[in-house]
Amino acid sequence: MSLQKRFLVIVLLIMVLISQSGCASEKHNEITQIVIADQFGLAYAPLEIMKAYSFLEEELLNADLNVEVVWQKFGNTTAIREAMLTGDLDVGFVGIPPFLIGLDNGMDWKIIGGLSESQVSLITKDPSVNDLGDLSMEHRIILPQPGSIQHVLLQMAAESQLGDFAAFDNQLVALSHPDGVVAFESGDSEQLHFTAPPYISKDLNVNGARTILEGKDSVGEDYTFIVGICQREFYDQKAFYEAFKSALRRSIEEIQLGSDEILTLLSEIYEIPKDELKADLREKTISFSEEVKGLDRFSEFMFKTGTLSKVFSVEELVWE
Amino acid sequence: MLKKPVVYRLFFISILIIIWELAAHFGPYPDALFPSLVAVVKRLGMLVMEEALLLKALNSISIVLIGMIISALIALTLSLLGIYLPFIKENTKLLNSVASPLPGIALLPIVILWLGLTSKAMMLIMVHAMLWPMVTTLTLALERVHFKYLRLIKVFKIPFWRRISTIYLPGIINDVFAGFEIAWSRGWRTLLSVEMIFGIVGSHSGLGWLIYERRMYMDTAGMLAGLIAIAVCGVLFESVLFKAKRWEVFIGTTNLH
Repeated sequence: MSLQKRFLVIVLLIMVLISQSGCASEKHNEITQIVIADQFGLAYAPLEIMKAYSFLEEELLNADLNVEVVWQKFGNTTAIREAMLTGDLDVGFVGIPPFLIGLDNGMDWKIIGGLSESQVSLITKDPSVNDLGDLSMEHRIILPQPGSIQHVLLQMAAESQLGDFAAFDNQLVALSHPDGVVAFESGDSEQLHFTAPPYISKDLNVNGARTILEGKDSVGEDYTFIVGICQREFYDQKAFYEAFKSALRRSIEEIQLGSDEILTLLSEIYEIPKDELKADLREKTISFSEEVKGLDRFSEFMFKTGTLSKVFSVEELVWE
Repeated sequence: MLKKPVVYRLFFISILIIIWELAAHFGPYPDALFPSLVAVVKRLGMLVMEEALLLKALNSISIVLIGMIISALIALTLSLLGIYLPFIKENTKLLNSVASPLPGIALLPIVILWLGLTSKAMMLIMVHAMLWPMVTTLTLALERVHFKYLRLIKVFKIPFWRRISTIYLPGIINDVFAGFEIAWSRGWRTLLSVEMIFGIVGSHSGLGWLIYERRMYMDTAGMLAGLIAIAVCGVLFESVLFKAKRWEVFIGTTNLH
């Protein structure tokens, strides 16, 4: 066979393979299991309750839907986004900024509802640092990833305090919350950690550690820390969507009631003393609600920094 | 007229490009998974224009080169001393056999605990990645040259420094470049892994961080552009710069092998 003929055969084979893989991915429509992903931290506590009390399984049975529920834990939002993109995930829980970045890049997803509002703090142990203006080029800021809610909160504060949102963009170190705590504890005083409960209290146990920035101060208003999202494919399966929404509502109501049983469960899961957890909930260090706050503020700011190509309206962001 | 191997290569590359474009245009994959080559090339051009790509590539290359110089000096010292001091020779061998199989990235968590997220930590990992292959190559080369010219050295009573400049160094130059090549490939891979897994360590960010950052912003074309840059740097250094034969012409050393 001549070179040209071989070439043609190869190209034809590839075209057949590509069209075959297209057919395979279209078989997905019938739901046999619901895969849900969350991340590390107290902000995801209602999902632990949903898991422990099988709320979702109950709601699905009530609606005569016999499907398996699968829970997965991811280290960062990007992994959740990628799993959803490849069709391996139905529902994910993420911060608002990574959700907006995905939407802006063509993900067909929207918010199901809010999950939690949480204290997010930038912590230092450098005695010479009292605000962002005191940071030098040598300081490093540990946060989960570029484009995370912590990164955007840092950019907001840098803009309002120093007039340059990108002032610290070349001083980031990307580590998950648990790894960040280890690096903060063992590292020198030039490392700062931007984190959330229960890791804030672990950081503050380090000698001389204190907070120099709160997320709420950056945003200037209340905002939702974690939201639940799904793609259109899942939303269109109305019975499943409604069952999930009911289960989420029940889980949030349970944690709002804050019974002793719930506190015991959470303190075991997160390995934090019950009293500390009680205090966090009482002092609203962390709170849980379906309401979604702060979408406009994040959308406008991220458009201004060039991270988003447009400002999204609330209708474009929330399913209902 | 092009030579046959070149034709084969061009043919293979054009098949890959066609497969890619077919998959991007007709496949079921969204752009975020499989951007077209046009988008990747455009993104590559934009990153080069913004200077981000070149600066990051330079940062990565300079970290590897600094690590390589430090490793080469340590390796040369240990190998030279090893010829005359059995204590050094045996313990260098021991350390080499223990440390060489450990990938740099596996050491990083413990190094971060000891040294924090500093450029010192990064340099330690880089030296660890590059030192051991250099020690192995240099020790073998020096031993070979030493025993080959042992009688000559003894008969003519050549002084130590003269032995180094006229016998050892010219005799091992090819091996030094072979050592550099292996060290570069280990160092380059280690640096990119460190940057991709742990983010920035040091005062500037490199190509590994660029890919990591582009992934976070869902910029798949940017990620692929970063990969192209990494491949180009790798090819440039591994196949061009560290090929000893290219340097013999300039150095003008006698091959004593």
